[in-house]
Amino acid sequence: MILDTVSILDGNQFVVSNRQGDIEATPTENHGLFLEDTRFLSRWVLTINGQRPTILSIDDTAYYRVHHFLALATGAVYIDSHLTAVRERSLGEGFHEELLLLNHDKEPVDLEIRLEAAADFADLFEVKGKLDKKGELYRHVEGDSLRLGYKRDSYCRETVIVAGSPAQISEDALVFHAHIEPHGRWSTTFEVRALPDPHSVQTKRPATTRPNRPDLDDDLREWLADAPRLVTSWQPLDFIYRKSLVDLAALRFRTATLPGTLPAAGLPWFMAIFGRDSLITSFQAIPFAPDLAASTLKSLALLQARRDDPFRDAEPGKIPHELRFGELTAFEVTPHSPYYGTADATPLFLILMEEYERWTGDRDLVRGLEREARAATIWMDRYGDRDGDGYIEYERRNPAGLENQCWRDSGNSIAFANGELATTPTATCDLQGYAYDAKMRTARLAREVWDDPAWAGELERQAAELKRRFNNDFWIEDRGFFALGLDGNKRKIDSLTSAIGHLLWSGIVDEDKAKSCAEHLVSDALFTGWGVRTMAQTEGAYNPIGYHVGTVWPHDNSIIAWGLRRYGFRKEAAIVSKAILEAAAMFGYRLPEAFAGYTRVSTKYPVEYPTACSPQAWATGTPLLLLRTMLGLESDGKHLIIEPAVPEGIDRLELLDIPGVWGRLDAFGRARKAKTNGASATAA
Amino acid sequence: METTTSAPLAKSDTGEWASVAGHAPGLSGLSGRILLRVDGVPVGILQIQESGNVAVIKGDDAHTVCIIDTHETLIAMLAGDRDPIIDFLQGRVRTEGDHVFALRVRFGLQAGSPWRSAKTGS
Repeated sequence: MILDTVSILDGNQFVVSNRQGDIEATPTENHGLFLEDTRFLSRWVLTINGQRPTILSIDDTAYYRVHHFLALATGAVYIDSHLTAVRERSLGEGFHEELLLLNHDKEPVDLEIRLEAAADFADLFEVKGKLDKKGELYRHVEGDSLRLGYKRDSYCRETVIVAGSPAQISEDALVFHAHIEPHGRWSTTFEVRALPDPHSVQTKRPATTRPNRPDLDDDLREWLADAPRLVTSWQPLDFIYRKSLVDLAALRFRTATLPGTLPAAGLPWFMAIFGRDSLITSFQAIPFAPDLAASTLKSLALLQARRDDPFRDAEPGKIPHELRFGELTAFEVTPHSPYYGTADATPLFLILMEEYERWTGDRDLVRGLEREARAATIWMDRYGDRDGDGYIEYERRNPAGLENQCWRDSGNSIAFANGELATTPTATCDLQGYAYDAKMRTARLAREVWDDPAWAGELERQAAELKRRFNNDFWIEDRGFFALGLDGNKRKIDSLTSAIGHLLWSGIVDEDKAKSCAEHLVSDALFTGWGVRTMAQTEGAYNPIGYHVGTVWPHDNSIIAWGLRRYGFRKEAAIVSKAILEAAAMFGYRLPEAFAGYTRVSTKYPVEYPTACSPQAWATGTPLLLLRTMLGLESDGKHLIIEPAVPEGIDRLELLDIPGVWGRLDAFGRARKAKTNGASATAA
Repeated sequence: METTTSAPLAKSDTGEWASVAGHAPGLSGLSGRILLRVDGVPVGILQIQESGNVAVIKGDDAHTVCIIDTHETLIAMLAGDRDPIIDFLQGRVRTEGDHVFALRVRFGLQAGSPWRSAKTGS
């Protein structure tokens, strides 16, 4: 599918333009240069002699750089042009753009080149509506630069535009007059600097033009070189793997206030820190890029709530849901500084901490997070369990907050089999699974790292009790699966959903109930052929294009596949893994956030879900966790355990130089046609 | 690592807040110094000891500097009553040096601060 917009991104900054490279923001065209949830440029339109060039093609082979190849058309049916224009744009504290004009005629040409510029400094949350700015917009021409600004009390944001060659600069445009000889060329550069804090020392350096940022090229090269190398007989997997690594690099979020880089959630609306998304993506990526987990843990520990704050749905020890930097956050119109409306990020924080330590052996980091880990377990018991029934449940305290504070966070996602919506406080089953897993894992850290065997014993006792009660209270005997949750009246929410796969992942499921769950997951009701639906098509609320009530979410499937492996259902894990990877191949090797839940026999291709983010962090991490699942990679804290169960159609699967506490090791797997469960494993 | 202590600020140096010292539980395990500058003028150094004890002491050099717009913001910040991210976004408190350390301290003060007790008179 050819999109009518072009996006380049690098962590918390991105540019969305049309195919010509022009930025023309309107309520329906969400164009702009965005940094830290603010639009620093809303208009950037090129005309040559009053005419807009026509697009020939786009080269966007790097996520942070794009070339727009244009021609000045004559207006005839055919583009019979004598003038080529090439715009090369790359990100870096705003963007750098080079404009190159080539005269192919045998006559010289005189041109007026005009770049219109404007900035509305819209908060990302208001770009789709009518702007109602409370502060003052201003524009100044300062010598060879144009300064666009916005000021509201002490809140100030500016964009400075500098041209690399002499220009007539007015408050809304930069104009150049060029004389180009026959077969000659003319070029200039633009430096568009976004200044979130124009008064800081760092941003007071002169706004001069500068060459393209080579560091992003080097950074990506290093990132790819550090990752394990994949060798496979199934070529699409090669492309999928590389795309995942590159997208993960693109989504790395950097800001001066947080330590290191961690995955942002997704383009375009979620280029921000989301606790759950960063935690799950970092978990998926541990065998490939373990440093992401370290940064995620450190950053979320820093933002862990210290006080009770109903506006932000915060209680002491809670791990945040979402951090934003726009004007609406700055003036507390929205609660995102950060907002804490998630009940699963806190147990997931503990799960990631243990997984990270077991894979990397980095005890220093975990020692330094003991206080945060204790606060997180206290949150689960004291605040997460709102009514003292032993289960984590959620209910928003800010009326504008999220109604559902699990990963299925749309308003209609938690429904009974008859389609009736559940009331809050809601104790979804996945939260109980995560809490169980978090306590078991934290117990190990308490014993082995924090030297507190008494606490470890208490955590294990609590986890065992939770598991025992959960398997009674959530199990639906006549349908053979676990309820999606308990509603505000403690009724079992009796829909069949993919959440049972998360329960397998967590380990909370009794052995005698696991087989039935596994059968449901690959049944026609849940499994489309392209993946496991969020909700079974037998349920009242099912909708194949409903955000959380029938679509297929790749990350959900990666967790399900690992859960199936955990309980020994290797064949089923391989089926789910292969289906999702085949879907990825159909999506240009990049999995979207979600896709439609139609049955595979009725659609030759998986059907897109219209508003899905792409790239999206945990969809990007999905192929990585699926690779881990297919090769059966696990760490016991000292050794890499390899137990492959490779799907049919992938004859050979090798992952080389897997980093971990062991240094670097290789894993090999191959499919066996006669016996799907059969596998070979070697470690170099 | 405990930091060395210097002479505390006297009440007369800058105001009531300057003579406050005590325990901030959210800062246990942290140690370091932050130069506090209000409206361009250094007003003292926030000293944090690993025990969680905090005080504002005399001095004008530290690796990390917090540039604060008003005394009112400073006192509320020390009391842990202000949202660190909001202050950062509004430009009321600007940091030079170790941003992460400054933010850890700001969040840590939200968990309890001797300046809060001083404010409420408890």
